[in-house]
Amino acid sequence: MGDRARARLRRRGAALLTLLALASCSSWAASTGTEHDRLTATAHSQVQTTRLVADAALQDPPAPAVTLTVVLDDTRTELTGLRQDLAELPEGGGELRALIDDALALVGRTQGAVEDADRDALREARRHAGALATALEDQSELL
Amino acid sequence: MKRLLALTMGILTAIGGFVDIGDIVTNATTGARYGLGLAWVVVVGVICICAYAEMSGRIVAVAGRPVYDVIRERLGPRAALLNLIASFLVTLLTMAAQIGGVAIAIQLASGIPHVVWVAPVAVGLWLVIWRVGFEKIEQVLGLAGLTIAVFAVAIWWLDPDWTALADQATSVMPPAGEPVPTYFYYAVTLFAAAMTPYSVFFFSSGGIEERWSAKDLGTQRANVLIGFPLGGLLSLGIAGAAAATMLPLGMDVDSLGQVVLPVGIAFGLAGIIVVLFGFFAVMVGAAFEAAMSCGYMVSQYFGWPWGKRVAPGRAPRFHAVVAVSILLALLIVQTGVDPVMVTEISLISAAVALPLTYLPVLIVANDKEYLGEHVNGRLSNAVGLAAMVVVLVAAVAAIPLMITTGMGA
Amino acid sequence: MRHTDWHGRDRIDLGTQLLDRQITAPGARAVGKVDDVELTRRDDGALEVTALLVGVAALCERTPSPERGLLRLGMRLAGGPDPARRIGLEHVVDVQSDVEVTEEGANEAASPAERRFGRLVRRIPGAGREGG
Repeated sequence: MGDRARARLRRRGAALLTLLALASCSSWAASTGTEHDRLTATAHSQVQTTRLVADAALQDPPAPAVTLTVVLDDTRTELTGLRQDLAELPEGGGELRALIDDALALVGRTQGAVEDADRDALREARRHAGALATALEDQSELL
Repeated sequence: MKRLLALTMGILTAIGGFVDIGDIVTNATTGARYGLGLAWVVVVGVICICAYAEMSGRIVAVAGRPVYDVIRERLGPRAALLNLIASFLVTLLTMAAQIGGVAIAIQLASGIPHVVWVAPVAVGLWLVIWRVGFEKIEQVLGLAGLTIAVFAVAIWWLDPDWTALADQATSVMPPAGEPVPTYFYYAVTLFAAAMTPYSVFFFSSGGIEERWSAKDLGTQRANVLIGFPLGGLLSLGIAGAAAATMLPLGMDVDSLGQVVLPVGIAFGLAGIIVVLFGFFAVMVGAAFEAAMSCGYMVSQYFGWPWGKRVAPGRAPRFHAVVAVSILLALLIVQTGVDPVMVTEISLISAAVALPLTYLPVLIVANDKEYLGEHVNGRLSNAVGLAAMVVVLVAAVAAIPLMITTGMGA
Repeated sequence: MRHTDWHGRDRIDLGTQLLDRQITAPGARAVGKVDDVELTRRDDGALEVTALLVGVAALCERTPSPERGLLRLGMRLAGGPDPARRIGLEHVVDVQSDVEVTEEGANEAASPAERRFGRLVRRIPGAGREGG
C-alpha cells in the first residue's frame, strides 16, 4: 500500500514538473519574441554568412571554392526551410518573404561568383548582403 | 635532455588533445554571440579539469588503478552500474559528434556530402585503434591538433576592436539586452565542453597504458597544469576569431562551415587548409579517446583485461566493446542528423553526468589506503571541492536551461 | 574468537576490502572482479569464506532488478549466460588494493565469454601484436 501511494505521489510530481517546464517554456518563448522575429533573425544570420563567404573569396589567394560552396549550400538549405516555415504562419510573411527570396537569389549569385573567382561580382554580392542585412534588421525589434 | 623532450612532447600533446568538436562549436557560437563575454567560463572549466585530471593522474601513478576500477569499489556494483550506463551513453554521443565532425571537415575540403564519409571515418578509426600504438596515436594527433592555433593568429590579423574584446573578457554577466537564461545555457555547454567526462577515464587509463609510476608524478603534473590551460587558450582563440568577424554582424553560428570563415577571411586558401587539417586532427583524436574510453569503462567495471599494451587477442572483450561502440556511433551519425546538434545534446548530457565522474575521483583522492602520503593536500581539496560545487550547479541547471531557452535559440 | 594472520591482516572487511575488488594474476593480468564470495558453514556454526566467485552470474545474485535484468541481457548478448567461476581461497596470494591470485586460480576463473570473443577476435589479422 505504501509503495502504491509513493508511486502515485511520484507520478503527480512528474506531472507537476512537466507542467511547470511547459509553462516556463511558453512564457520564455513569448518573452523572446514571435516566430516572425525568430525567422527574421535566422535569415539575417544566413545573409551575414554569405557576406563573410564573399569576404573570404576576396582574399588573395582566395579561400578554396569547394569549402565556400559547401557553406553556401548550407545557407541555401536554411533559407529554403525558412521560406516553408514562413508559408505556415497565419500572416503569410509579406515583406519578410520578399527579403528571403532576395537572399536566396544573392546566395545563388555569390556561389557563381565564387566558382568563377569573379572579384567584381563578389564585391557586389558583399555590398548587396550588407543592404539586405540592414533591411532585415528593420523587420525585427530584436536585431 | 631526453626527459625535457618527453616533457615538451607531453605538454604539446595535452594542448592539442584538449580541444574537440564540443570546444569548437561552443566557443564559436558564444564568440559570435557574446564575444569574449564567456571567457570566464573557459577559465573556470580549465581550473576544474586541471584539478581533477591531476587527481586521477595521481591515483593512477601511485595506486596503479584507473578511475573506473575504483568507482565500483567505492559506489558498490548497483550504483556503479547506473553510473556506467550513463557515462557510456554520454561518451557514445560524444564520439558520434566527433565522427560527424570529421565527416564534415572532409566535406568542407572535398565538397562531397558528409554522410558519405561517416562510414569510412568510423572504419578508419577502428583500424587505427587496432593497428597503431597508443603513444604514437596520441602524439601524432595531439601535435597535429596544435594547428588550431591558427584561430588565435587570425585574431591578430583581423585586428578587431581590442578594447571591446578586453571589456567582454573581464565581464562575468550577460551583456545588456541579452536574455539571462540563454547566457547561462551557453555558459553550461561551454563548461561541459571544457570538462568532457571521458577525458578523465581516458587520461587515467592512458596513464596505465603508458606505465606511469610515482616517479612520473612531476611530468604528469606539468602536462596537465601547463598543457590544459594552453589548450583552453586555443579554444578561446576560436571564440576570439568569431568575436572579431561575426559579433559585429550580429549573426549566429550553426554549422562548422561558418566556424572556419574567420580564418578564411584572414589567410585565404592557406588558412582554410590549416584549419581543416586541425579540425580533422583534433576530432579524430577526440573520437579515438572517446572510443577507447567506452572500452575502458566497461572493461574496468567488470574487471576484464583491457587496453592496447596487451595484444588484442588477449583483451578480446575490450576490443569487442570498442568496436561495437564505434558501430553504434556510426549508426547515430549515419541517420543524417546534424553533427552540431549531436554535439549540443552530448554537451548537455555531459553536464548532467559530470558529478558521476568527478565525485568518486575526489573521494578516492582522499583515501589513504590508495594514495598513502600522496593523498590530497589542502590546496587540491579546496580547488576540488569548489570545482565540485560548480559541477553540481551546472548539472542541476543544465536541463531546465535547455528547456527554457529552446537550446539557446 | 581467534584471529589468524591472513596476508598480513588479522581481519578483513568483506564489504569494503574484498567485494568488488580487482582480481589480478601474476604479471598484472586482469582476471575479473570479486563479484561475490562463497560462504560455508563450519561445524562450529560460524560462516567461513571459502572462495571468491567471479562472473556476471555471481554479480547478478547481488544486484536487485531492474539492473539485474540488464546484466542478464548483457550475458545473453555475449553468448551466455555462463555460470559463475570460483577461486578457492588457497589460491589468493595477497590482498592489496587488488586481490592477487595464483596462475592456477586465474585459470579456474577463466571466462567462457572471453574464450568465445577471443576465438572471434583472433581471426582478425594483427590480433597477436602487442601494442605500444
